[in-house]
Amino acid sequence: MPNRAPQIDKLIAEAAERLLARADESYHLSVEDILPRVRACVQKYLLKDAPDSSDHAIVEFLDQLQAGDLCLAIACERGESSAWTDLVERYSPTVRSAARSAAGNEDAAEDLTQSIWAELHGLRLREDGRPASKLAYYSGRGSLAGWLRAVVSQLAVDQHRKQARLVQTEDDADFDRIASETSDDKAAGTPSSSPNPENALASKRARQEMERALASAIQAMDDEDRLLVKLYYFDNLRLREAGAVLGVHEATASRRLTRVHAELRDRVEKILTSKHGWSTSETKSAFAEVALHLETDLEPLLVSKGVTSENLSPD
Amino acid sequence: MKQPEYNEIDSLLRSWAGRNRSVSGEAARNSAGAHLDADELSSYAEGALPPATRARYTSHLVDCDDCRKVVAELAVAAGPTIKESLVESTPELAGWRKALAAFLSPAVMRFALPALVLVVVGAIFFASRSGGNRESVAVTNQTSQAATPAPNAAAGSQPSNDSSAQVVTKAPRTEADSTAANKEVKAGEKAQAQTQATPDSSAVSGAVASKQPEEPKKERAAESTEEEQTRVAQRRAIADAPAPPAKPAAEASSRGGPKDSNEVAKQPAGRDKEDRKREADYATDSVATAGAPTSPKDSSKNDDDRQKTKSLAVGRANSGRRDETEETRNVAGRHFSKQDGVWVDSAYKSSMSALKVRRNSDQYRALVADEPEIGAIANQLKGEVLLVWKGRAYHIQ
Repeated sequence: MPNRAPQIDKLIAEAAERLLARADESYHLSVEDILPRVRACVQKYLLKDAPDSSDHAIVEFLDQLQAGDLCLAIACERGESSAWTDLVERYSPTVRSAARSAAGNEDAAEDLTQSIWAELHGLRLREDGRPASKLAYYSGRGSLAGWLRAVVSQLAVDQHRKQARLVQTEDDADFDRIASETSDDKAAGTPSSSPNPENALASKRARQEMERALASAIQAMDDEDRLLVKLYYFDNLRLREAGAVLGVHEATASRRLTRVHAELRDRVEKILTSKHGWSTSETKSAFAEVALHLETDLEPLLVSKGVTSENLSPD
Repeated sequence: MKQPEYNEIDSLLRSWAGRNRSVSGEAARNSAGAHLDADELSSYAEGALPPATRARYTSHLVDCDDCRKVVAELAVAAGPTIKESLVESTPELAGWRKALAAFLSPAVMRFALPALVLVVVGAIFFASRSGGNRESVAVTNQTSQAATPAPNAAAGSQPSNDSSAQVVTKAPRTEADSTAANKEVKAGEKAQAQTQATPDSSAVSGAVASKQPEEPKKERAAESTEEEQTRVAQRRAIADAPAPPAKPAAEASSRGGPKDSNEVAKQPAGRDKEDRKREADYATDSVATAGAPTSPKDSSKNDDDRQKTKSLAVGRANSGRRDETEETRNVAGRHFSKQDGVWVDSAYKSSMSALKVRRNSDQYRALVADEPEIGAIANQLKGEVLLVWKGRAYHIQ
């Protein structure tokens, strides 16, 4: 494809012109001003993963860029004062609300907002003497509002990581360990499982085998399905929210989850019967057992959090 | 809400996720490669990426809790930027399965069962009080009409001297449906249902129906259309249930069935099972115009039942239409609707078992201390709150 580069450059230059024409306000920018950004965006999001994209695909990609938002960002980065006025006017509320939801309290939100604006203005100077604004990293692919929210979230995550990561994860690990130990004890002690310790041990081992089978069954699924499982079960998102991440409607997400359930169930059964030599009926009853124990998992969760079982109201 | 086997895999996934949550986060930080930058995150969340690039980021997001969390926030904030290019190919199948599952959900069954018993008792009471034949025909006729999917057959619009033909043509479908439902799970009960359609009673029914105008019945029919709709839904739920409750339903309809019930019963045998269920769903939605006699005794009780059924049948195919009168609130990004005086989280499913927690109890304080946001939500909503938090349901009283 060595002869393709000039053609792509030509497409990009043409698209940049169209982009300037599309923008509501171009802030006196020229095609040369925006060309490097447009080219970088195509490289990053299209040609890197699909170098053989057709001309048509490239043009389509270019014409989907957020013209107005990209021009605003570039103009701000270049120090255009009218652009800054627009940016502050239009996006202050976005930044503030994003900071509020990312930070724990009003003070932290205020700090976060200040930090964001400082980064947008640019704290350090570049070699050419202009401040190194974070806006240089906005590609125009998504909306500027979404990008600003992402910047806020990331900054909040970074700060959180620096301050609390170590403590937090240790706590979590401890808590989870206690919770799972307690729930195992509980599982072993429920009337549904045999009082015989040998059976209890076997039941625990069976459950572990099942979970290992589940883990490898999930590993074998494609990324979109695994993402859905993570969003729904690990992040406790609702289907509507998981659907938003996957770019599908809630109903589609629900159907997909149902399909994932069916596939996982099949695969887990296959793994258990073929690799661990379980019989079909053993597999069935093990599944039933798991469903039964889940309801008892609630109680140990509270108990391990320092609530004694006497306080649990009779249900 | 789901079929049992999926509930089981759902449970397994939940407990597995609970155990592995913190571990996976740590592992991902080491193995998932470079994090996504802000521009990549927001482009992903807004669905603005070409498929190949998106796929590469997806594989990172699967393993990286931090990036996934940000993308989720952004995607929710961005609202519906739905690109249904990834739609599955089996929507219809899953659709009816879901609708059916909603009918069979424990919440519906719990109220449908007593309601059905009341209906049956009411019918028997009527029949015995007014000397049998005439009223029993009324009941038969009602049942048939109510269960008929054809909307234009409703509200007793047929001339009454045709009603003998009507009984013969409509009643078989009720019979047929219940029989088929039975057959699906317990083949043995089919025979039972058929034999219970005693020749004498149905013969008499048919004969009387042709002579006797049914004026009072029609008046009542007009009064109670919505109630009947609910009741039909309940009866349907029973008739389709893969459990013993199917039996009384079959008996109820076959008791008044036509004398040639055996012949008619063959009809559903050839019918596709799937078809039948879709039709059942349809019937529930469209039978609103059917009529029914209502004994005063069970009308109030039924009203109550209907209220509960309505609020608890989350995810029912037609729930959207009925939710208009519900009070709803959004608190802390969650959606609550008031159902029977309880604020119910939209994430709550009737299949979840909720832990009861009293306000101001030690348990409540401990819970709030660990999860302050639960306290915040409970304080804003007042009263009883049914809340789903980290996959668990809490009933705060």
